[in-house]
Amino acid sequence: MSMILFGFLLWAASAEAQVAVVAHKEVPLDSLTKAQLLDFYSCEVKHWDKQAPIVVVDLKQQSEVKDAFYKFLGMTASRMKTIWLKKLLMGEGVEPLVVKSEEEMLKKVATTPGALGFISLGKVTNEVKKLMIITPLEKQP
Amino acid sequence: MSFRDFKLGAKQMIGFGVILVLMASAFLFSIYRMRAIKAEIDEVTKNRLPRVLAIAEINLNTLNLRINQLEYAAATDVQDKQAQIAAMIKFVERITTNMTTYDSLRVEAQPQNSDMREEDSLYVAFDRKWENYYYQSLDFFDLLRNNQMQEALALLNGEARQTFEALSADLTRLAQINKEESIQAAQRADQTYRSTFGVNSTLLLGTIFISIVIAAGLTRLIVVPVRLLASAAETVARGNLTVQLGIRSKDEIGNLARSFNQMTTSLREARTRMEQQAAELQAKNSALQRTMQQLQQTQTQLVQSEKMASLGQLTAGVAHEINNPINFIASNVNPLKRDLADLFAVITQYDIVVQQNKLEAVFAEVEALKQQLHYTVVVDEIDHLLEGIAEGARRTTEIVRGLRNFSRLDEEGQKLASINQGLEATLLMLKNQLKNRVEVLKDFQDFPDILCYPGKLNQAFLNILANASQAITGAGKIFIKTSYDGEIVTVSIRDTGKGMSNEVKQRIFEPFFTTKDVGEGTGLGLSITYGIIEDHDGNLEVYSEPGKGTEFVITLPAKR
Repeated sequence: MSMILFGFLLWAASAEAQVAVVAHKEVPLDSLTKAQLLDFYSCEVKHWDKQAPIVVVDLKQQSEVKDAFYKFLGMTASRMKTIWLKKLLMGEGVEPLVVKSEEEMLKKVATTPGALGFISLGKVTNEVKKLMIITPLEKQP
Repeated sequence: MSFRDFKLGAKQMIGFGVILVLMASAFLFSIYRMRAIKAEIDEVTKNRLPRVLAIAEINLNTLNLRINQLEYAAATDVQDKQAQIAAMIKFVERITTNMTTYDSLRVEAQPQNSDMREEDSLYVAFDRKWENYYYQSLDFFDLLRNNQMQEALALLNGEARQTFEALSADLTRLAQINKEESIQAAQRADQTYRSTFGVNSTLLLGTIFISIVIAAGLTRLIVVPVRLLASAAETVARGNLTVQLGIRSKDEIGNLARSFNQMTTSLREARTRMEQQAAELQAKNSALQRTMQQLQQTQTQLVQSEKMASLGQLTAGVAHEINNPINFIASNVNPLKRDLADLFAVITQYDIVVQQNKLEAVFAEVEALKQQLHYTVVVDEIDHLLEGIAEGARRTTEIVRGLRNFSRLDEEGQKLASINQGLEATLLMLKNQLKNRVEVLKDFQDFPDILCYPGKLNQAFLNILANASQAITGAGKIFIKTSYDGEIVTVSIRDTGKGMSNEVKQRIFEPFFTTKDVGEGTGLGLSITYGIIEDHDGNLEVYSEPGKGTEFVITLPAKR
């Protein structure tokens, strides 16, 4: 097991910061499972409930937070993009929002209804709803 | 507790144990190394090669996707565009599948060396470039949607192309690394196989060598001591009981050696005891034999003495009885001779008278009678007869004297007697046996009489001389010599007879030993003789060789 952990450690240069999965204040859920998070992010599930659509927000810049987030999903960022590209080409009308920084992410999630994103735990404010806290894999027991 | 204290079986088990351990270690080592080879092969076949395939697929499909993007841009009618989109979906799907495959294989793969780091960093680089390409693709599709065809193609052939070429280079490099790694893994497996083969060969040779050493050692352990035991047993069999084995090991061989040593020791002691007993027995036996011999000798002497005594008495009587008539003859012969001479003188005178007076005619008748009676012959014959009578009387007298001398046997106690006379008397007794056949040559020294038992000495001489006579077949000689040096009288009696062998010589003084036919000799003669000489404190020696005659030498102290 430690070997696999070591592999991931190399994979993602460094992922020390704890990551919070955040959503717009008015989303109907208060917490998420990893499977739900994966389904939401890979656009398999597109709605919070019958009406409210999920708006996935992604960080364009490479950062520890982004690495930690995708590593937690067991994905690379580019693979997620390839999945999105397929949905796009299939005309499913999927187009995640892209932001350039965590601050922008926070603002976007806070202001866009149905938005789902991720930022450093320390940067979370009351403007968003915290659904999940991702502890970097190497810090998990 | 050292190795040699173990039992043979234990020693053997240790030997086999060593071999077994060696073989087992060779076997285990092989299995261990085979597992290493299998791990290498598994890593290549189950992980690395699929990874290379996934990378290649990604590389190929990204290229296809890019080509389709170009064709999509160039497509004019809606159907064509939709066909291009369907193709793109297919390639994107394949990229996703292969990326998923690669990710999971990458997680399974165990980081083995520093190449992992390179692969990981390459993949991260690819990841970011591919992400960029995604954003550029999004921009490309946006531009197309806005009918900005020129800008879209410029993006795809410019910025996006650079990104694509970079990520393609990363993928190619990734495939390359994995290919090299696969080759290296194969080489490692080959090397492991070679080294395992080498080590196993060495172990096998070692096992064979050690087996030989152990076999030789065990052989030495058993065969050498057994050989020692065998030669020791042979030595013991030859009668040497001082053999002791120096085998000190505490195994069965050692026990055997110790038992063997105990056995030889006991045998030695037993033999010593037996020899002592045999020696005692022999001593007792010879003592008994001596006693018996003395007893027999004494008995024989007793019988002989008795016999001789009677013989002596008889001889004395006979001598006396013959002496008187012989005296008559001896004393009458000479006067008779004289008387006959006188008678013949008268008759002669008659003849003279007849011749002178011419009375021939008258005495012719007398003369005729004389002629008829062979008168002259008768006269001669009378002379001869008388001579014969005189000789017979003389000889008879001689015999009688001899008998008398010989009969001194019965005389009691020691007397002064002449040895030479004793010899003469004895010869007289044997005269008949010797005459005309054996010549007796005497060489007597004159010496005084000595104190002795004359009768017994005569008996001794008789025995020796009788034997000498009997030893001579046909004609021969007997030499008798006496000498005296003032203290010792020596009598030597030598014959020219057939002699005797050493075996016979050593036994002639034994009672009842005889070389003569049954009935001819008692075997007592010389034994009695020896006894007689011993009684005189003298000595009797015999010298003889077959064919060269025999000499008896008697030495007697001259006592007075």
